Order: sequence, then C-alpha cells, then structure tokens
Amino acid sequence: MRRFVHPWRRPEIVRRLAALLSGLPPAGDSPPDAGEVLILARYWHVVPALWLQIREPRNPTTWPPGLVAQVRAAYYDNVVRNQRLRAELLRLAAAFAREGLEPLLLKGATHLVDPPGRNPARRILGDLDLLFRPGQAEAAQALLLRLGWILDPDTEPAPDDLHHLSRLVHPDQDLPIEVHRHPLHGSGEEWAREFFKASVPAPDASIPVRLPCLRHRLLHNALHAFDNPDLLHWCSWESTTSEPALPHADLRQLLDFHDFSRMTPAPDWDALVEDARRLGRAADLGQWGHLAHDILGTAVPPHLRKWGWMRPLVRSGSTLPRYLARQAATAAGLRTAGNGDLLPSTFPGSHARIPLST
Amino acid sequence: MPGSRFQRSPSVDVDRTGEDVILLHTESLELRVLNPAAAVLWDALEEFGTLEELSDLLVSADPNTPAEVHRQRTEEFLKSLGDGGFIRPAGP
Repeated sequence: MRRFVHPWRRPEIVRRLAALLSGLPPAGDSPPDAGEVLILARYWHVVPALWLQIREPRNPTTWPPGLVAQVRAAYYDNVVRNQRLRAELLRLAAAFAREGLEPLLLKGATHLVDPPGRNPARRILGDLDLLFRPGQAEAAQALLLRLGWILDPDTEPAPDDLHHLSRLVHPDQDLPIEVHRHPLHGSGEEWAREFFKASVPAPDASIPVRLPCLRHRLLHNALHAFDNPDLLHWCSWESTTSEPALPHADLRQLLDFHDFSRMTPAPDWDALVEDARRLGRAADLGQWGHLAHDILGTAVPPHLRKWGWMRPLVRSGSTLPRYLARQAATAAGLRTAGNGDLLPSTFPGSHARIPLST
Repeated sequence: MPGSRFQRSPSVDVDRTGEDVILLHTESLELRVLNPAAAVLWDALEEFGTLEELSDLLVSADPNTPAEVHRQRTEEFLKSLGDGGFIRPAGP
C-alpha cells in the first residue's frame, strides 16, 4: 500500500532540512525551495533548532530575509515559552518533593534541565512526560488533580493497562502532562525500576528530579519513535531502502537521538542494543540509528545501524499500528485496549492477544 | 562593585544577527537585549573586567558625554547582567 505523502514531505526536502539541522553540506545540486523547507521544519517542530544553525556565519543560506526573520522570531517565542515551562516544572517538582515523590523526566522534559545541546530553547516541547517509581504514579496524578490539572477532554482516557495514566491539562498552562507508570509501551515495572536505578540527578542538584542515564535516553527516544504508525509501516515493509520512511521520521526526535549520541561520556552502544533486544525491539533501534546516520550524520556504530532487519509478521502490543487495530476491532466487533492489544469485548479483563498480521 | 572584576558566564548564548545583540542565559532562559553601547561593553569584557576600565572605555569612545553618565550606565549594565547571571566575578 503506497500512502499519500504531502509534497513538502518529499525525501529531498527532508534531507535538505536534516542537513541544515546538523550542519552537513546540502545534498543535491538544486536545493528545495526555502519555503518548503520551513513548512517541513514547522511540521516537525524544529524551527528553533533550525535558527541556531542558519544564524551561524559558517552556514550561509540564501533564504529570503522575511523567512529568516520568521525563523528567528519562532526561536525567541520558544525561548519565552520554555522559560515559562521550566518555571512550572520547577514548581511541580517542588510540590512532588513535598509529597515524597520524585519524577524522572522523559523525552522533551529533559531538555528543560539538562539540554544535550546546552540550549534548552532549542527544543519545542509538546507535553511533559513524567515517570514515577512503581506504585507512585497514582499519587502523582492525584496531586496534579489537586493542583488544578484536569483530565484532557480532547483525548480518550487511558486504559488501565497503558504505560501512562490519562493525559492532564491545566486551564492556565499550555503544557499537557502524562504521568507514566512505565517508560514505554510494552515495558513493565521492571523497566521503571531499571530507569530509576540507572538515573542521574539534574545538573542543578537543587532541582528534585531524576534524569534517565544516557543509554536509557537513547533507548527511549528510538523505541518511542515507532509509536508513529506511518514510520512503523514503512520500516516494516520496505526492506530495501529507507527512502520511503524518511517523510515519516519525526525530525525533532531524530535530532534528539543525534544530540544524545554526542553527549559525553560516549554511549555504551552494545549495552543499548542489549536493552533493545530484551524488549524485543532491536530492529527499531537499528532502523532509527540508520535513519539518524543517513540524514543527520549521527555517529552510530556500523553494526548497529542496519536497515534490512527481518521483522516479525505478527505484531502486537506497542508495535501494532493502532489505527489498523482500531479498524480491525471495529470490523470484528472487538474493542481496543488503546495500546494496540485487542481484547474481546466478551472477555473483559482478558489480556490474551489476538494475532493480527499487518 | 568599584574595583571588582567581572567576566562573562559560559552559560550565555550570544545572537548577533539583528540590530541588537541578544544574550540568552542557557540555564535560566533569561534574555537581555543589548543596545550598541552595551554590546561594546559586552565585547570589552573579553579584556576589561572592572567598572572603571569599562567606563573609561566609553569615555574614550564618547568624550562629549560626562564621565559620570558613562560610569552610571556602566554600573547599570554590570548590575543588570550580574543579576541575571550573565556575568560573574572573575577569579583571582
């Protein structure tokens, strides 16, 4: 099945934007129109990161001044927004600490206290993902509700067995929060314990939060990327080339992977692969590493950035495209558990998975 | 402040792409927008670090303005940047 890809998500535009973001020489003789590149940068929320590159004298662009001004303005908008979000995160962390709770920051939240590129304004945050120790997530959610957060009316309530609780929003904040029981789809308490055990404090020790170790940051980044069903589709079915997958790779996340890989001390790649294998997702890590190396020049060891992985034909749990699961469930009279598992409606509480070939 | 020596904080991102120089503190995300005179002082912090040295620099660049005015502006500059953590006392 060939899916429609919008014209500004063509692979050549993705490559051009990725080259700009990572400071690589532009690919191809005739670079795409700057306007198209900017639209794609907006789509993937990487305009602030783009500004930090195109402002450098070593990266001259021929962009029209009006477009350059837009990129610059977007960057400073994000400076102001992230300053506000950081202040809110610090207030929340203090409130959690008073209750004996200590969140571990996942994904974009880590940029607010320990940005890999040393500039927390480089990353646009979509939401705040907070992992808590086993048994503490419900208490954290209850505290947030007492502080004025409410269940997000625009998203479905999370089922009981999902790795995070229902999404929360605040009438006066533009940052939704997800309280996580486990770090990832398909991981359990064991992984929450491992993340906490290997976690590190914030560089500013007065901020009472934990950060994943570098290996877990990379692991979480790579595996979480495959929650995108379109990326998963092309990574599953196109084994000869990664080109069709490029329009579906979240460049903001891929840039995070690139930045994490350059932090010091260098990542323990073999241990990272072992983690991914334990989760049954070495293929996801390898393909994500391949994409990062291909378009951002990320220094992933050669044996870890493979494209032609053999993937299982029967997918379940986290790696099952949820849109397909919903369609199949509707057609078969089943309901979905929200995380891709299909549960027969006549067997409430059953966790028996129904194999579904994608 | 008189006699104290200051230096730039390493946690500052400097944007010189517009008419004004914009400083971003990369830990607190505070911003300071420097006018051309303040930008000169910021650059001068590379070599000069005391109120007197910086103020003298402005006097030599603009002798028509009373020295006391330059000194007052330099004090404001150092106080504003010091409050935001953009500069810090230099080591011995």
